[in-house]
Order: sequence, then C-alpha cells, then structure tokens
Amino acid sequence: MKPPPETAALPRRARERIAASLDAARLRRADREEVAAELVAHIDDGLECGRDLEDILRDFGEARETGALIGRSVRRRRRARFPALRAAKTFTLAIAVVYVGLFARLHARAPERQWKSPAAAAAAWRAAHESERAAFETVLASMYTEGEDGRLTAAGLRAFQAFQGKNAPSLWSIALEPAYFPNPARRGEARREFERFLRLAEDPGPAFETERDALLADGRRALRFVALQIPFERLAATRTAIRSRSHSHSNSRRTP
Amino acid sequence: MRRSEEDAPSADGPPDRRVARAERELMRGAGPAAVLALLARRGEMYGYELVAALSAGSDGALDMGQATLYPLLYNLEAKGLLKATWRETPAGRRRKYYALTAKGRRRLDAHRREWRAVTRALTRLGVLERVPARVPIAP
Repeated sequence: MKPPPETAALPRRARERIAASLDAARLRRADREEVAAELVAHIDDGLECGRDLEDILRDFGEARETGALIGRSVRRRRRARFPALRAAKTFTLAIAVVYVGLFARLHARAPERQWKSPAAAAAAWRAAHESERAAFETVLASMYTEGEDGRLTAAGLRAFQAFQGKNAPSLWSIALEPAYFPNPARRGEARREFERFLRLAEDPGPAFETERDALLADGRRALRFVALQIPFERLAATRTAIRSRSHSHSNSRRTP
Repeated sequence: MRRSEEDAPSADGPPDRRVARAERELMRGAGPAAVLALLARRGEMYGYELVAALSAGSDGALDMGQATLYPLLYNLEAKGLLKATWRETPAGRRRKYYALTAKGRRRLDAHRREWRAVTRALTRLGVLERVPARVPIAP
C-alpha cells in the first residue's frame, strides 16, 4: 500500500486512506493518478473551508467499499471514453469464438473410412486401379464424413497433406486450418465438381486445363474444393496418355 | 446517504454483489437528479463544492461523502451526462470541474418529469402534505 505521489503534501493519515481506497479500486496507473489528484483536491478544498481533517476522512467511508465503487465507475467511464477499444475487444472475442467453433468442426468428426495413417490413405489412392469415379470416392471417404452432406475432417486434411508429401504438419499449420477452411464444400458438392472436371477431361479440347488452372488460381475456391486437387494429377496424366496415343495413332494412319 | 466508517461492514472485503447493489442504489436515488440540477443552475462545479451545495440545499438529506459522490460523478460521466475539465485555481492548485452536457440536460428534464409525477402521487396519497409550487433552495 504505497501512497500515490499526488498525496505527498497531505497528512500521513489522509495519504494512507487515499492509498487504501485506490488499492481497492484496482485501477490502471493513469486512472489511479487522476482519481488520487481529485481526492487530494477534495481534501484540500475541505481543509481550506475550515473543516477538520478527521471529519473529512470520515466521509471517505470504508476504504475497500469506497475503492470498489470508485473502481467500477472509473472502469465504466474508461470503456465509455474508448468505444473503439471496446468494439475491438468485442470483435476479437467474437472472432475467437467463431474460430474455436470452426476448429471444433474440423476436429470433432472422423472421415468415413479410417486408415491406419494419413499416408496409408494417400498411398491407397495413388495405387488405385479402378475407374476415376471409384478412385475419387476413395478420396472422399478418406477426407469426408459419411453421406452427401458429409463434412471435411481434420483427418482428411492430414490425408491430403500426406498426399502432398507432408507427413508431419507443423502445429502452426494445424492451428491455422480453421482460417483456411472456414467454408469447405460438402461431400456432395465436391463430387459434383469432380464430375464436371471428369467431363472436361474426357473432352479433347483445352477446357480441362483452363478450368483447373482457374480453380487453382482462385485461392478460396481451391481450398473449398481441396479434395479435387488430388485427382487433378491423375486426370492430367490420363489425358496426356490419351493424347499421345491418339497422336501416334493418327501418325501411323498418315504414314503410307 | 453518507457512508461512515462506523457503519461500514466488518467483513474482510466487500463482495462484488454488495458493491454492485450499492452502486445501483446510488444511481437510482435522488442523488443523480440533484447533481444534474445543481450543475444546470451553476454551470460548473468541483467535487467538494457539489458536496457542500447538496448538503446545504437539502438540509442534510442529500449529504454525500467522497465514497458516494465520486462514483456517482464517474458514472454520470460514463453515461455522457457530464463532462469534466481540470483547471488551476487562483492559488495554483488543480481542480476538476464538472459541467452538464446536452444529454445531461435532457436527462435532467426526464428526472424532473419523473419526480413531479412521484410527488403528485405521494401528495394525492396523503404521504406528502401540499407544499407551495416553488420551494426556494439555497444557492
């Protein structure tokens, strides 16, 4: 309980009483100094009017209760003086709540198909010899919960990372996932988008490459349909193979 | 309204709930209206001046100590009803002067309507005796 410097000119008993009230008020330094100066001025005014110090100090009441009352009202005044600060605090809190909700949404669910490890899921897809559709269903089962309305899962993102060769994502990347995937496509949406790309891939024109590059260039859409990035590689390879076959076939037909 | 050391609770620390209740009582009673009315009449006043004027103007009925006055003033300031300015006295001391804001004037008008209605009701009920329309108050 250190008496504030503003009270230096007052008698010891007054200094102690002000210090006790201010300690109970639990104020920031600037507010503490301002209230101390005002209480000192009050005592000085009383003494100037010829009142007895003990009489003035009696009006202080019980130090803890006085301090608590002053503390509450000064904090309220501070909030009113800095509405932007208050709005920023509320906004930050709201963002934090939403973020925790998004994090829980990613981590609270398991994908439809449980693999021994994310790497096993990625390897299984790479080794798949089924049709493109069947192979993509394996991708979806590794990343999404069941059903057309299935949601993207954190385990699914691990599988995606394993597919890209990242088997041990950093804590930072895991913590930031809710910000990158605030609104991922549902399983049905991802399947429909894949079907569209499959149709484009079957077309000999350049539409597949154009659409794929456009999706990858649009960061938000690329993250929303993150599962699509897995079959792109295979679809592109298939197209190259078909093109080279058709090219060599047409060449052989042209040769006399 | 004065909170003296003698009638202070003996508990180790005032629980938050009791302090919150004390604060509600502080803001609900006649104190805020009286402070606003004094400032409306005098323009601006400092803390001790307000305490003295309230005590003298109410025959001691609205006697306030620092424990009551300053939380009341800070709460009124937080609501935007008062604005405070630090100034130096001729003797070279610093004092904080309080004055009404436009919002404070509107709130005072509202207080006046409420108190008039309460006074009329209490008079009709016989709780109060009929008093002259304007009671002189010490400046």
